[in-house]
Amino acid sequence: MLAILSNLFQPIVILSTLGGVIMGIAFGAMPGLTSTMGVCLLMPLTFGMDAAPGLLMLIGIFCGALYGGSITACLINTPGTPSAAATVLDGYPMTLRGEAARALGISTVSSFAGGIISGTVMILIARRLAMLSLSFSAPETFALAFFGLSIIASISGKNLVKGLMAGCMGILLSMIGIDNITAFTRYNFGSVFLSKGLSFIPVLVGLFALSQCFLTCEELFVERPKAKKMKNPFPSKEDMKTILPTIIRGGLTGTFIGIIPGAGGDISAFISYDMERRFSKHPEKFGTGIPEGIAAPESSNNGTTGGALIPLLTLGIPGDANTAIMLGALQMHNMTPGPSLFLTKLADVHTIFAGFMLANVFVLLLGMLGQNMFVKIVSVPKRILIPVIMVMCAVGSFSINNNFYDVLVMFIAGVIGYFLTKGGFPLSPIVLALILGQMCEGNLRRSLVMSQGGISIFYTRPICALFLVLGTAAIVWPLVKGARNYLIGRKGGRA
Amino acid sequence: MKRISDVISIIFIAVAVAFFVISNSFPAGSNGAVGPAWFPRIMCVIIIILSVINLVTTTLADKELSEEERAADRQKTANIFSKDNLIVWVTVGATLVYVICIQKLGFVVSSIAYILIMNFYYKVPKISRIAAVVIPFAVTGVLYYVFTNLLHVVLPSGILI
Repeated sequence: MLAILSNLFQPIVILSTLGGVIMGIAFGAMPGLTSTMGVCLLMPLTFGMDAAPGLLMLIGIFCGALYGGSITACLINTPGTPSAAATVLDGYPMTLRGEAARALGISTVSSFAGGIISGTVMILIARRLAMLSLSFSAPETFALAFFGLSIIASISGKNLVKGLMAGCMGILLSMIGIDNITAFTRYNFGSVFLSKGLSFIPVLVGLFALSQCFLTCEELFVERPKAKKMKNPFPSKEDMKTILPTIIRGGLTGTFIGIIPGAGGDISAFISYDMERRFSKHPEKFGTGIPEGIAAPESSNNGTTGGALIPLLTLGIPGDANTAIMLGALQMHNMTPGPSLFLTKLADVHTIFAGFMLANVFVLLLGMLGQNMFVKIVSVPKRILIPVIMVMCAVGSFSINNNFYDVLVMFIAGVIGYFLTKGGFPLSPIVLALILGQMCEGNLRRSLVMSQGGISIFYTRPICALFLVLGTAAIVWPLVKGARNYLIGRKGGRA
Repeated sequence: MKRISDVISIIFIAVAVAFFVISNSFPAGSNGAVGPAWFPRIMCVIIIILSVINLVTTTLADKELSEEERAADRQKTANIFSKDNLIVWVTVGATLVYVICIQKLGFVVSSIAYILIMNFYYKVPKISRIAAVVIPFAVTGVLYYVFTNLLHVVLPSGILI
């Protein structure tokens, strides 16, 4: 315990967590800038740090951004992130009544509590789950990677086929470079740069940050309404009494939803809001600016942060784009998620757990003390931000390998990301597949070598079979549901 | 946007076919193990099948739309390449020039020039003249200091700095 505290209270750890939360809140609060963009852009800064402070900076951005989205949601009726979309429903009506400080106070306390609840659950179950994966061999690891890839189905939204196309293209692109099994160089087109494979960080900076900048340019001159300054955002005793049960329910719901790969803060916020309304004694008051209407989505969306980190740290499965980037950061810091992380780098893991709690404390403190500062940040016009973000994209991509080609890859990925978004293709599957593709292929081929070409190895090992069934169900079920809805729609149309 | 979606599907098919053809030159597997071409080929086939499904479903969905909805969708596609969207294409072009200049001229000069030019193109001086001029120098200076001195990254210096 003392060792964890001494690790945690090193100035670099505290500063990186605090810096991460501040930048996260700023990114979350500015509509058009996403938490994913924040994590992407600031990841290169962590490469010069030790693993724990580096990862805590990213976790700080993640937690801060989910909270930051609620600032603009409450103040100017514009959710800074999709996760804060449900907060608008009651946050803005409360602001219209002249109670902006109250709305922000409730959202801050709820976000903090949701994060702490999810952190507690993470600390309690993460190690046990990681130890379960000690028995994993190549077939189980392949099945796990396959299950991880099946998340594509749930993060593709309505465009399942497009999501699967993007995911498969991501896997194909991950094949570029030296084959892990035979050391044969594939698809390098004679380029030494491509022989090492596509570095996924420039690709994801391009896809998530640069393409978002191009999209933001389309409405560059559309200015947002300005937020006003406020005083004393701490919620009253009465409000605290009202929202406490809501916060606990929301935090737990968020944690559970966060654990499910593919389900993020936006889904959990709406589910918690809806659940709270259904079980409320006065459901008709939801939408008019009541405290429970803010507390439910905010505790729930911040609850997903700890939940999403559980499968990431224990099994190496990223639940969403943010944790996919963090998986990349773990790899860059030579940390392999799973039991080995808990056996060989236990001190770092404990520091990350404690730092996660600290990040949420910073969310509370900054939320209470720094509201007016964030109101100012929200007011920075997009046209000033865009060129700065472009430069950050370039320098971030270059710094990973000190290679100019990475900057070119980032630019190309940005343009492709712009067109893919216009065509309705989700971008997260490409990144997820780029990260998990080699792991999936390598372990599949190793499994086939183990079984001398037989496929029985995949269904005679219970854990492997379980993950394969779950993964297949995750892909097939939305397809069946979509086909059924299509047929019902056609029948309805004819009738 | 159906047309863009269709074009992307066709590009996906072309890429998958190219990767499949290239995989013919990969060595075969030995001792019962599958070779390096096996998995990429499976992916290529899946991509081709999914792209065809996407082309067919978007065409079927398009047929069910009213004439006005179809026209609106065509207009959305046309808008991307219209004059109204010129700001995006200028930004894309300027960013490409900037990326090339980083290597040729150096990070510091290129970044200052890029932010400065974009600030003037985006009419930032209308908001604040000082911000339009100070921000390029301040941002580049801070980034240069953080990456070179704190993170020990050697940023490209080109023929200038």
